[in-house]
Amino acid sequence: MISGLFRREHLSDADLSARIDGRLSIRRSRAVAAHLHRCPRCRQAFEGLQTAKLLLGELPRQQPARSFVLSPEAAAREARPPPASRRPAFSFAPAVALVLLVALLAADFVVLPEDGSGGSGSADSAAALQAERATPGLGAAAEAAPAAADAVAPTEARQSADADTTAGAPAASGDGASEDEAGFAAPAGPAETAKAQAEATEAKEDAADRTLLRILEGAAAVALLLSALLLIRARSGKRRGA
Amino acid sequence: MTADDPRLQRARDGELAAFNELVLEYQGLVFSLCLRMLGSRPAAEDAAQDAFVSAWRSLGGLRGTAFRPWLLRIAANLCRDELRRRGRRPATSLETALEEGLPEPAAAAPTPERAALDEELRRGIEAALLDLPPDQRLAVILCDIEQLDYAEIAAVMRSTLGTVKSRIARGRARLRDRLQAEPELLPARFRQESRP
Repeated sequence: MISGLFRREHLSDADLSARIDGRLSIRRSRAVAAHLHRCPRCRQAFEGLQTAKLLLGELPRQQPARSFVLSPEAAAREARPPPASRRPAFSFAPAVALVLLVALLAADFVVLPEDGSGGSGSADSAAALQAERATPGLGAAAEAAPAAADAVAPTEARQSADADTTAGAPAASGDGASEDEAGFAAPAGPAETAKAQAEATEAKEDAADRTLLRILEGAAAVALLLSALLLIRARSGKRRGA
Repeated sequence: MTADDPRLQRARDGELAAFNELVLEYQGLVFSLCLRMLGSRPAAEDAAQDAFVSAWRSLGGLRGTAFRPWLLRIAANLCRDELRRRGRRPATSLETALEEGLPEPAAAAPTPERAALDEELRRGIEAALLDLPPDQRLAVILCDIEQLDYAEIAAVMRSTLGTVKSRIARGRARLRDRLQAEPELLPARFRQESRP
Protein backbone atom coordinates (compact mmCIF):
# COMPACT_ATOMS: atom_id res chain seq x y z
CA MET A 1 0.00 0.00 0.00
CA ILE A 2 2.65 2.47 1.03
CA SER A 3 4.78 1.58 -1.96
CA GLY A 4 1.67 2.39 -4.02
CA LEU A 5 1.72 5.88 -2.58
CA PHE A 6 5.07 6.49 -4.22
CA ARG A 7 4.15 4.92 -7.50
CA ARG A 8 1.10 5.06 -9.69
CA GLU A 9 -1.77 4.49 -7.24
CA HIS A 10 -3.65 7.61 -6.35
CA LEU A 11 -4.89 8.50 -2.91
CA SER A 12 -8.51 7.90 -1.98
CA ASP A 13 -10.82 10.76 -1.10
CA ALA A 14 -11.24 9.10 2.29
CA ASP A 15 -7.50 9.51 3.01
CA LEU A 16 -7.39 13.03 1.60
CA SER A 17 -10.45 14.09 3.58
CA ALA A 18 -9.14 12.48 6.77
CA ARG A 19 -5.85 14.32 6.32
CA ILE A 20 -7.70 17.64 6.15
CA ASP A 21 -9.28 16.85 9.52
CA GLY A 22 -6.05 15.50 11.01
CA ARG A 23 -7.55 12.04 11.34
CA LEU A 24 -4.62 10.05 9.89
CA SER A 25 -1.98 8.30 11.91
CA ILE A 26 1.39 10.04 11.89
CA ARG A 27 2.90 7.38 9.67
CA ARG A 28 0.01 7.46 7.22
CA SER A 29 -0.04 11.22 7.22
CA ARG A 30 3.66 11.33 6.26
CA ALA A 31 3.12 8.87 3.44
CA VAL A 32 0.16 10.89 2.15
CA ALA A 33 2.14 14.13 2.34
CA ALA A 34 5.00 12.57 0.38
CA HIS A 35 2.58 11.34 -2.27
CA LEU A 36 0.87 14.72 -2.54
CA HIS A 37 4.23 16.36 -3.02
CA ARG A 38 4.94 14.34 -6.14
CA CYS A 39 1.44 13.68 -7.56
CA PRO A 40 -0.29 16.73 -9.12
CA ARG A 41 -3.53 14.86 -9.65
CA CYS A 42 -3.90 13.89 -5.99
CA ARG A 43 -2.81 17.37 -4.97
CA GLN A 44 -5.58 18.85 -7.06
CA ALA A 45 -8.11 16.46 -5.56
CA PHE A 46 -6.86 17.34 -2.08
CA GLU A 47 -7.07 21.06 -2.69
CA GLY A 48 -10.58 20.66 -4.10
CA LEU A 49 -11.67 18.97 -0.85
CA GLN A 50 -10.00 21.69 1.18
CA THR A 51 -11.82 24.33 -0.85
CA ALA A 52 -15.15 22.61 -0.28
CA LYS A 53 -14.52 22.51 3.46
CA LEU A 54 -13.44 26.14 3.59
CA LEU A 55 -16.43 27.37 1.59
CA LEU A 56 -18.86 25.42 3.74
CA GLY A 57 -17.23 26.90 6.82
CA GLU A 58 -17.83 30.38 5.47
CA LEU A 59 -21.56 29.91 4.98
CA PRO A 60 -23.38 32.35 7.24
CA ARG A 61 -25.26 30.93 10.22
CA GLN A 62 -28.96 31.35 9.55
CA GLN A 63 -31.11 32.61 12.37
CA PRO A 64 -34.72 31.56 12.75
CA ALA A 65 -37.36 34.24 12.30
CA ARG A 66 -39.04 33.19 15.52
CA SER A 67 -38.16 31.70 18.85
CA PHE A 68 -38.86 28.06 19.65
CA VAL A 69 -39.30 28.44 23.40
CA LEU A 70 -42.22 26.40 24.65
CA SER A 71 -45.20 28.22 26.13
CA PRO A 72 -46.60 26.74 29.36
CA GLU A 73 -49.68 25.69 27.38
CA ALA A 74 -47.61 23.90 24.75
CA ALA A 75 -45.50 22.27 27.46
CA ALA A 76 -48.62 21.12 29.29
CA ARG A 77 -50.06 19.76 26.07
CA GLU A 78 -46.88 17.83 25.53
CA ALA A 79 -46.77 16.65 29.11
CA ARG A 80 -44.30 13.84 29.53
CA PRO A 81 -45.94 10.50 30.07
CA PRO A 82 -45.30 9.67 33.72
CA PRO A 83 -42.88 6.76 33.63
CA ALA A 84 -44.98 4.68 36.03
CA SER A 85 -48.39 5.12 34.41
CA ARG A 86 -49.15 4.52 30.77
CA ARG A 87 -46.35 2.37 29.52
CA PRO A 88 -46.40 -0.37 32.18
CA ALA A 89 -50.17 -0.71 31.79
CA PHE A 90 -49.62 -1.22 28.11
CA SER A 91 -46.76 -3.61 28.46
CA PHE A 92 -48.37 -5.72 31.18
CA ALA A 93 -51.78 -5.96 29.55
CA PRO A 94 -50.96 -8.96 27.33
CA ALA A 95 -49.30 -10.74 30.24
CA VAL A 96 -52.35 -10.20 32.46
CA ALA A 97 -54.67 -11.39 29.71
CA LEU A 98 -52.49 -14.43 29.12
CA VAL A 99 -52.47 -15.38 32.80
CA LEU A 100 -56.24 -14.98 32.90
CA LEU A 101 -56.66 -17.16 29.85
CA VAL A 102 -54.41 -19.89 31.22
CA ALA A 103 -56.22 -19.78 34.59
CA LEU A 104 -59.58 -20.11 32.89
CA LEU A 105 -58.42 -22.99 30.73
CA ALA A 106 -57.01 -24.70 33.80
CA ALA A 107 -60.30 -24.16 35.60
CA ASP A 108 -62.09 -25.63 32.65
CA PHE A 109 -60.07 -28.83 32.76
CA VAL A 110 -59.65 -29.24 36.48
CA VAL A 111 -62.94 -28.03 37.93
CA LEU A 112 -65.23 -29.19 35.14
CA PRO A 113 -63.66 -32.31 33.64
CA GLU A 114 -64.69 -33.26 30.14
CA ASP A 115 -64.50 -36.92 31.02
CA GLY A 116 -64.09 -38.86 34.22
CA SER A 117 -60.51 -39.91 33.65
CA GLY A 118 -59.22 -36.40 34.11
CA GLY A 119 -61.31 -35.13 36.98
CA SER A 120 -61.27 -37.53 39.87
CA GLY A 121 -61.38 -35.85 43.23
CA SER A 122 -63.05 -32.70 42.02
CA ALA A 123 -66.45 -31.48 43.09
CA ASP A 124 -67.94 -32.48 39.77
CA SER A 125 -66.71 -36.03 39.74
CA ALA A 126 -68.18 -36.25 43.21
CA ALA A 127 -71.49 -35.13 41.75
CA ALA A 128 -71.16 -37.72 39.03
CA LEU A 129 -70.47 -40.34 41.64
CA GLN A 130 -73.53 -39.28 43.52
CA ALA A 131 -75.60 -39.58 40.37
CA GLU A 132 -74.18 -43.03 39.82
CA ARG A 133 -75.18 -44.12 43.27
CA ALA A 134 -78.69 -42.98 42.63
CA THR A 135 -79.02 -45.04 39.46
CA PRO A 136 -77.74 -48.59 39.39
CA GLY A 137 -75.91 -50.08 36.44
CA LEU A 138 -73.77 -48.65 33.65
CA GLY A 139 -74.24 -45.19 32.17
CA ALA A 140 -75.80 -43.89 35.35
CA ALA A 141 -76.45 -40.37 34.21
CA ALA A 142 -77.86 -41.42 30.88
CA GLU A 143 -80.34 -43.62 32.65
CA ALA A 144 -81.05 -41.22 35.43
CA ALA A 145 -82.05 -38.51 33.03
CA PRO A 146 -85.09 -40.28 31.55
CA ALA A 147 -86.09 -41.20 35.09
CA ALA A 148 -85.95 -37.59 36.08
CA ALA A 149 -87.76 -36.73 32.90
CA ASP A 150 -90.75 -38.75 34.01
CA ALA A 151 -90.77 -37.06 37.36
CA VAL A 152 -90.15 -33.39 36.46
CA ALA A 153 -89.35 -31.50 33.29
CA PRO A 154 -88.63 -33.85 30.40
CA THR A 155 -86.83 -31.36 28.16
CA GLU A 156 -84.54 -30.02 30.84
CA ALA A 157 -83.57 -33.43 32.01
CA ARG A 158 -82.85 -34.67 28.53
CA GLN A 159 -80.80 -31.60 27.92
CA SER A 160 -78.71 -32.30 30.96
CA ALA A 161 -78.29 -35.88 29.93
CA ASP A 162 -77.08 -34.79 26.51
CA ALA A 163 -74.81 -32.16 27.89
CA ASP A 164 -73.52 -34.63 30.30
CA THR A 165 -72.07 -37.27 28.55
CA THR A 166 -69.56 -34.90 30.11
CA ALA A 167 -70.42 -35.02 33.79
CA GLY A 168 -72.04 -38.40 33.50
CA ALA A 169 -69.32 -39.97 31.42
CA PRO A 170 -67.17 -40.94 34.41
CA ALA A 171 -69.68 -43.59 35.12
CA ALA A 172 -69.54 -44.95 31.60
CA SER A 173 -65.79 -45.11 31.57
CA GLY A 174 -65.27 -46.60 35.02
CA ASP A 175 -67.02 -49.91 34.52
CA GLY A 176 -65.74 -51.86 37.52
CA ALA A 177 -66.24 -49.05 39.92
CA SER A 178 -69.76 -48.35 38.78
CA GLU A 179 -70.71 -51.98 39.14
CA ASP A 180 -69.55 -51.88 42.73
CA GLU A 181 -71.43 -48.69 43.24
CA ALA A 182 -74.47 -50.22 41.62
CA GLY A 183 -74.50 -53.08 44.09
CA PHE A 184 -73.98 -50.65 46.90
CA ALA A 185 -76.78 -48.36 45.77
CA ALA A 186 -79.26 -51.02 44.76
CA PRO A 187 -81.46 -50.89 47.87
CA ALA A 188 -82.07 -47.18 47.54
CA GLY A 189 -85.06 -47.65 45.26
CA PRO A 190 -87.58 -45.00 46.42
CA ALA A 191 -84.97 -42.24 46.80
CA GLU A 192 -83.91 -42.86 43.20
CA THR A 193 -86.13 -40.30 41.52
CA ALA A 194 -85.30 -37.51 43.90
CA LYS A 195 -81.57 -38.11 43.59
CA ALA A 196 -81.75 -38.29 39.84
CA GLN A 197 -83.57 -34.99 39.91
CA ALA A 198 -80.83 -33.48 42.06
CA GLU A 199 -78.24 -34.87 39.70
CA ALA A 200 -80.02 -33.40 36.69
CA THR A 201 -80.10 -29.99 38.34
CA GLU A 202 -76.40 -30.20 39.08
CA ALA A 203 -75.64 -31.27 35.54
CA LYS A 204 -77.61 -28.29 34.33
CA GLU A 205 -75.59 -25.98 36.62
CA ASP A 206 -72.39 -27.54 35.35
CA ALA A 207 -73.41 -26.86 31.78
CA ALA A 208 -74.11 -23.23 32.70
CA ASP A 209 -70.74 -22.97 34.46
CA ARG A 210 -69.00 -24.37 31.43
CA THR A 211 -70.74 -21.95 29.11
CA LEU A 212 -69.71 -19.10 31.39
CA LEU A 213 -66.13 -20.37 31.41
CA ARG A 214 -66.09 -20.60 27.62
CA ILE A 215 -67.34 -17.03 27.37
CA LEU A 216 -64.66 -15.86 29.82
CA GLU A 217 -61.99 -17.77 27.91
CA GLY A 218 -63.11 -16.21 24.67
CA ALA A 219 -63.07 -12.76 26.28
CA ALA A 220 -59.60 -13.36 27.69
CA ALA A 221 -58.33 -14.54 24.31
CA VAL A 222 -59.76 -11.45 22.60
CA ALA A 223 -58.30 -9.23 25.33
CA LEU A 224 -54.92 -10.90 24.83
CA LEU A 225 -55.00 -10.32 21.11
CA LEU A 226 -56.20 -6.74 21.41
CA SER A 227 -53.67 -5.75 24.04
CA ALA A 228 -50.85 -7.33 22.06
CA LEU A 229 -51.94 -5.39 18.98
CA LEU A 230 -52.18 -2.14 20.95
CA LEU A 231 -48.75 -2.72 22.42
CA ILE A 232 -47.21 -3.33 19.00
CA ARG A 233 -48.90 -0.20 17.67
CA ALA A 234 -47.76 1.89 20.61
CA ARG A 235 -44.17 0.67 20.19
CA SER A 236 -44.04 1.31 16.46
CA GLY A 237 -45.52 4.75 17.07
CA LYS A 238 -42.90 5.46 19.64
CA ARG A 239 -40.17 4.38 17.22
CA ARG A 240 -41.55 6.66 14.53
CA GLY A 241 -41.64 9.48 17.05
CA ALA A 242 -38.02 8.93 18.00
CA MET B 1 -22.77 21.61 27.97
CA THR B 2 -22.27 18.52 30.03
CA ALA B 3 -24.84 15.96 31.07
CA ASP B 4 -24.75 17.34 34.64
CA ASP B 5 -25.55 20.92 33.62
CA PRO B 6 -27.90 22.25 36.33
CA ARG B 7 -30.29 23.64 33.69
CA LEU B 8 -30.57 20.20 32.17
CA GLN B 9 -31.25 18.68 35.56
CA ARG B 10 -33.93 21.26 36.34
CA ALA B 11 -35.49 20.82 32.91
CA ARG B 12 -35.51 17.08 33.45
CA ASP B 13 -37.35 17.69 36.70
CA GLY B 14 -40.06 19.45 34.73
CA GLU B 15 -38.96 23.08 35.07
CA LEU B 16 -40.03 24.70 31.81
CA ALA B 17 -38.01 27.90 32.36
CA ALA B 18 -34.80 25.88 32.58
CA PHE B 19 -35.70 23.98 29.41
CA ASN B 20 -36.42 27.24 27.60
CA GLU B 21 -32.96 28.49 28.54
CA LEU B 22 -31.59 25.49 26.67
CA VAL B 23 -33.94 26.22 23.75
CA LEU B 24 -32.58 29.75 23.49
CA GLU B 25 -29.02 28.48 23.57
CA TYR B 26 -29.50 25.80 20.93
CA GLN B 27 -32.26 27.09 18.67
CA GLY B 28 -29.82 28.72 16.22
CA LEU B 29 -27.88 25.48 15.85
CA VAL B 30 -30.97 23.31 15.51
CA PHE B 31 -32.65 25.65 13.05
CA SER B 32 -29.49 25.95 10.99
CA LEU B 33 -29.15 22.18 10.78
CA CYS B 34 -32.80 21.79 9.75
CA LEU B 35 -32.51 24.54 7.17
CA ARG B 36 -29.41 23.00 5.58
CA MET B 37 -31.04 19.59 5.61
CA LEU B 38 -34.44 20.63 4.29
CA GLY B 39 -33.65 23.70 2.20
CA SER B 40 -36.78 25.55 3.17
CA ARG B 41 -37.30 28.03 5.99
CA PRO B 42 -40.91 27.09 6.84
CA ALA B 43 -40.06 23.39 6.85
CA ALA B 44 -36.93 24.05 8.93
CA GLU B 45 -38.91 26.10 11.46
CA ASP B 46 -41.48 23.35 11.78
CA ALA B 47 -38.80 20.69 12.20
CA ALA B 48 -36.89 22.78 14.75
CA GLN B 49 -40.06 23.45 16.77
CA ASP B 50 -40.97 19.76 16.64
CA ALA B 51 -37.45 18.87 17.75
CA PHE B 52 -37.74 21.01 20.89
CA VAL B 53 -41.23 19.73 21.65
CA SER B 54 -39.99 16.18 21.23
CA ALA B 55 -36.93 16.92 23.38
CA TRP B 56 -39.14 18.33 26.14
CA ARG B 57 -41.33 15.26 26.00
CA SER B 58 -38.50 12.74 26.13
CA LEU B 59 -36.06 14.63 28.33
CA GLY B 60 -36.79 12.25 31.20
CA GLY B 61 -35.16 9.46 29.20
CA LEU B 62 -31.91 11.38 28.71
CA ARG B 63 -29.45 9.80 31.11
CA GLY B 64 -25.69 9.97 30.83
CA THR B 65 -25.82 11.28 27.27
CA ALA B 66 -24.57 14.69 26.23
CA PHE B 67 -27.47 17.02 25.50
CA ARG B 68 -26.22 18.56 22.24
CA PRO B 69 -25.75 15.40 20.16
CA TRP B 70 -28.98 14.03 21.60
CA LEU B 71 -30.89 17.15 20.58
CA LEU B 72 -29.25 17.23 17.16
CA ARG B 73 -30.12 13.59 16.64
CA ILE B 74 -33.78 14.34 17.34
CA ALA B 75 -33.68 17.21 14.83
CA ALA B 76 -31.81 15.12 12.24
CA ASN B 77 -34.33 12.29 12.57
CA LEU B 78 -37.21 14.70 12.06
CA CYS B 79 -35.49 16.08 8.97
CA ARG B 80 -34.94 12.57 7.69
CA ASP B 81 -38.61 11.76 8.20
CA GLU B 82 -39.59 14.91 6.37
CA LEU B 83 -37.25 14.09 3.47
CA ARG B 84 -38.60 10.57 3.33
CA ARG B 85 -42.09 11.97 3.13
CA ARG B 86 -41.06 14.12 0.21
CA GLY B 87 -39.59 11.13 -1.55
CA ARG B 88 -36.01 11.32 -0.33
CA ARG B 89 -35.41 14.61 -2.09
CA PRO B 90 -35.37 18.10 -0.61
CA ALA B 91 -38.15 20.26 -1.99
CA THR B 92 -35.57 22.70 -3.21
CA SER B 93 -33.38 21.61 -6.07
CA LEU B 94 -30.48 23.60 -7.39
CA GLU B 95 -32.66 25.57 -9.77
CA THR B 96 -35.37 26.48 -7.27
CA ALA B 97 -32.77 27.32 -4.66
CA LEU B 98 -31.16 29.75 -7.04
CA GLU B 99 -34.51 31.18 -8.04
CA GLU B 100 -35.74 31.52 -4.47
CA GLY B 101 -32.44 32.80 -3.23
CA LEU B 102 -32.33 30.40 -0.37
CA PRO B 103 -31.52 31.01 2.39
CA GLU B 104 -32.69 34.58 2.39
CA PRO B 105 -29.73 36.93 2.54
CA ALA B 106 -31.70 39.36 4.72
CA ALA B 107 -31.95 36.72 7.44
CA ALA B 108 -28.27 35.95 7.29
CA ALA B 109 -26.29 37.07 10.28
CA PRO B 110 -22.68 36.35 9.38
CA THR B 111 -20.36 36.04 12.33
CA PRO B 112 -17.31 38.25 12.09
CA GLU B 113 -14.97 35.32 11.57
CA ARG B 114 -16.90 34.11 8.58
CA ALA B 115 -16.04 36.09 5.51
CA ALA B 116 -18.95 37.14 3.39
CA LEU B 117 -19.18 34.91 0.37
CA ASP B 118 -20.06 36.10 -3.00
CA GLU B 119 -23.84 35.80 -3.22
CA GLU B 120 -23.85 33.58 -6.28
CA LEU B 121 -21.19 31.33 -4.86
CA ARG B 122 -23.05 31.02 -1.58
CA ARG B 123 -26.20 29.97 -3.34
CA GLY B 124 -24.28 27.56 -5.49
CA ILE B 125 -22.74 25.86 -2.46
CA GLU B 126 -26.04 25.69 -0.63
CA ALA B 127 -27.74 24.19 -3.66
CA ALA B 128 -24.91 21.67 -4.10
CA LEU B 129 -25.23 20.76 -0.44
CA LEU B 130 -28.95 20.11 -0.90
CA ASP B 131 -28.17 17.71 -3.71
CA LEU B 132 -26.07 15.44 -1.48
CA PRO B 133 -27.63 12.24 -0.19
CA PRO B 134 -29.09 12.98 3.28
CA ASP B 135 -26.51 11.02 5.27
CA GLN B 136 -23.57 12.69 3.54
CA ARG B 137 -25.27 16.06 3.81
CA LEU B 138 -25.79 15.63 7.55
CA ALA B 139 -22.18 14.55 8.09
CA VAL B 140 -20.80 17.46 6.06
CA ILE B 141 -23.10 20.00 7.75
CA LEU B 142 -22.11 18.82 11.21
CA CYS B 143 -18.39 18.69 10.40
CA ASP B 144 -17.75 21.62 8.08
CA ILE B 145 -20.53 24.06 8.94
CA GLU B 146 -21.23 23.35 12.60
CA GLN B 147 -17.63 22.31 13.34
CA LEU B 148 -18.47 19.26 15.46
CA ASP B 149 -15.72 16.70 15.97
CA TYR B 150 -15.97 13.17 14.57
CA ALA B 151 -16.92 11.60 17.90
CA GLU B 152 -19.85 13.95 18.39
CA ILE B 153 -20.98 13.49 14.79
CA ALA B 154 -20.88 9.73 15.35
CA ALA B 155 -23.07 10.24 18.43
CA VAL B 156 -25.56 12.33 16.44
CA MET B 157 -25.66 9.87 13.56
CA ARG B 158 -25.43 6.79 15.78
CA SER B 159 -22.72 5.36 13.60
CA THR B 160 -19.07 4.44 13.84
CA LEU B 161 -16.17 6.83 13.36
CA GLY B 162 -15.32 4.97 10.15
CA THR B 163 -18.77 5.58 8.73
CA VAL B 164 -18.62 9.25 9.70
CA LYS B 165 -15.22 9.60 8.07
CA SER B 166 -16.44 7.97 4.89
CA ARG B 167 -19.63 10.05 4.68
CA ILE B 168 -17.73 13.26 5.18
CA ALA B 169 -15.20 12.27 2.52
CA ARG B 170 -17.85 11.32 -0.03
CA GLY B 171 -19.90 14.43 0.66
CA ARG B 172 -16.90 16.73 0.30
CA ALA B 173 -15.79 14.94 -2.86
CA ARG B 174 -19.21 15.46 -4.46
CA LEU B 175 -19.17 19.12 -3.52
CA ARG B 176 -15.65 19.46 -4.91
CA ASP B 177 -16.65 17.86 -8.20
CA ARG B 178 -19.68 20.09 -8.43
CA LEU B 179 -17.65 23.23 -7.75
CA GLN B 180 -14.95 22.21 -10.17
CA ALA B 181 -17.62 21.73 -12.83
CA GLU B 182 -18.62 25.37 -12.31
CA PRO B 183 -15.24 27.08 -11.77
CA GLU B 184 -16.69 30.49 -12.58
CA LEU B 185 -18.48 30.34 -9.22
CA LEU B 186 -15.23 30.06 -7.31
CA PRO B 187 -13.47 33.18 -6.08
CA ALA B 188 -10.08 33.84 -7.62
CA ARG B 189 -8.20 32.62 -4.53
CA PHE B 190 -9.75 29.16 -4.92
CA ARG B 191 -9.40 29.04 -8.69
CA GLN B 192 -5.68 29.57 -8.39
CA GLU B 193 -5.40 26.98 -5.65
CA SER B 194 -7.27 24.35 -7.58
CA ARG B 195 -4.92 24.45 -10.54
CA PRO B 196 -2.48 21.56 -10.62
